[in-house]
Amino acid sequence: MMSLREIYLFAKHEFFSEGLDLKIISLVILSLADILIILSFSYNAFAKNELSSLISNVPLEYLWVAISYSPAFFVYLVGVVVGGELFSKDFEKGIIDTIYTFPASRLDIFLGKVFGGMIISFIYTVIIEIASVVSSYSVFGNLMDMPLSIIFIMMISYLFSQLVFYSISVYIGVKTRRRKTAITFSVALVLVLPLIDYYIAPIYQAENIFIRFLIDMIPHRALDLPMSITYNLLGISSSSYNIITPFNAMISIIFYTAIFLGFSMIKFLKMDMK
Amino acid sequence: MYAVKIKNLRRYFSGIPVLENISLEIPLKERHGLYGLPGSGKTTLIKIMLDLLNKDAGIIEIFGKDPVIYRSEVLSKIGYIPEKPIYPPYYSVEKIMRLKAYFIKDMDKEDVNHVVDKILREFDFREYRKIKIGKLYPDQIKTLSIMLAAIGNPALLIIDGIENLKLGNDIQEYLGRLSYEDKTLFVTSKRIEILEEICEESSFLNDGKIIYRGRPGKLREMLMNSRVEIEASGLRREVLSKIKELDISNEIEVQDKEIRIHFTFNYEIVEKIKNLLNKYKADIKRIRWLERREDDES
Repeated sequence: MMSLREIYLFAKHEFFSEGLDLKIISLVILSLADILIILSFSYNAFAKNELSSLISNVPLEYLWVAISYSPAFFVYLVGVVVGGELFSKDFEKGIIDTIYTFPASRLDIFLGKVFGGMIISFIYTVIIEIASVVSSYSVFGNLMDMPLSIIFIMMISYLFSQLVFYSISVYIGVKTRRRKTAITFSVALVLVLPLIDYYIAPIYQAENIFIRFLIDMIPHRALDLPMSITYNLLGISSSSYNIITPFNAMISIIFYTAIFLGFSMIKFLKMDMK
Repeated sequence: MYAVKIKNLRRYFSGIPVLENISLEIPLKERHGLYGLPGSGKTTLIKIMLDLLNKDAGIIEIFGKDPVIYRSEVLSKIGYIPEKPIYPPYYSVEKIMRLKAYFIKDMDKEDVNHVVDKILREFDFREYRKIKIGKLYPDQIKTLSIMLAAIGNPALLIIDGIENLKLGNDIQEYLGRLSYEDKTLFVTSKRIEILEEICEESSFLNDGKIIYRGRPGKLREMLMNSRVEIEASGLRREVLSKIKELDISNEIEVQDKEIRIHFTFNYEIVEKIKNLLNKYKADIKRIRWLERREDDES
């Protein structure tokens, strides 16, 4: 039987123990630096009227939207670090004998920690995204008539797409019980998968729906969900860009999250905690 | 009903039996000591009881319930003091105590405050309540582990490696403080004299098997003049000379990089040899007690 109280207590424990982790804060600082650099480059190009060579397929009035995606890489890294450390750090630090013998079922420990980790990565993602949107808007101004709900939807889709690599790194963390392995492997996936994406782009142009669907199921492509949704809502044509359809992205995210969190849970419920 | 009931418990690590057909029944309110040499499987047994490790076969019941199925309920009745307690260093003493207290089902915020205050007062620990665990001394961490175990007034107190709770004070005083007179106590130790002082009943876990169940005094007699065998591999030459320096004047068989040492039972010598082998990174395969030989008796 699940106990909401125990899940809540473990989520709270996770939040307070890892919420101020230096690695994650460093990633947030790097993402803010990244936003500033991209903004200054874009502004410079904008001032010299060279922006079209910098960003070819985005209408000028939506520039701030494109720029708000600049820290995406860091957003996913936050998910990877939080997910990778979720259980592995407890094994490495040796606190299993103490914290995991508090009266709670293994299922409650698992769910509590996974939710706690999600809350941490969600909070940092929202911070990064707000910083990105606000700074981009304050430089370029002009939100056009865009309803604020689009920004909200964009953020929700960011949080949702982050789940892919969060769940993959949770699984590797549970499986290997090593922080370095979990984080290194997941970061490698974040870096390598776009390369695969790049090389198979011509196949994507073939317009075979089945092949497109298969390509869309590469985990990395799900990370395009925020851009895909926003472009759809703004009616920006993405014909020159191999962007995933929101539907495929959502299937992919649900698939990977369910599979990897499901495997992690089964492993955690049966594993020797040592 | 028994506080602890174990039947035919088995556990293997990489195909090697660590616990073999363990059966043990501890009645309610008994103060039971589990004696065993280093590596005999004491901690493994406790971790299986706490659902930290899995069992390969057998039945375990704590207060009549399977700790795997009723983990939360069973653990709420157990106070556990690990051999080497490690806590998240960023928690303050008070915060971790409050966290543990909140896990006890029927406690609301007021109860939690009351319980934590009471225990801090009993252990003269109020001045450290805001101190981060990472800044506590090792002895203070041990005290913290006892305080955490006391939260919820558990019906069964499990102490792994009671000899580690020296703290310059009498262990009896700590156990008295916790008012466990009407509770069941299950402690493990490598020191029989400590178990004799605290426990009314004992069992002896040797090489993964329980080979004795009875009074600790009788167990101590059984151990006297008995023999111990230590087997290790990956031996380096300097270890051999160091072991010989111990002057245990007994049999040492060396073959390639493997060593087998037989000597008259003595806890300090066991610890010294174990530490030496660990220091020189030899792989200790087995430390086991051997029954007294007839020629020894003569």
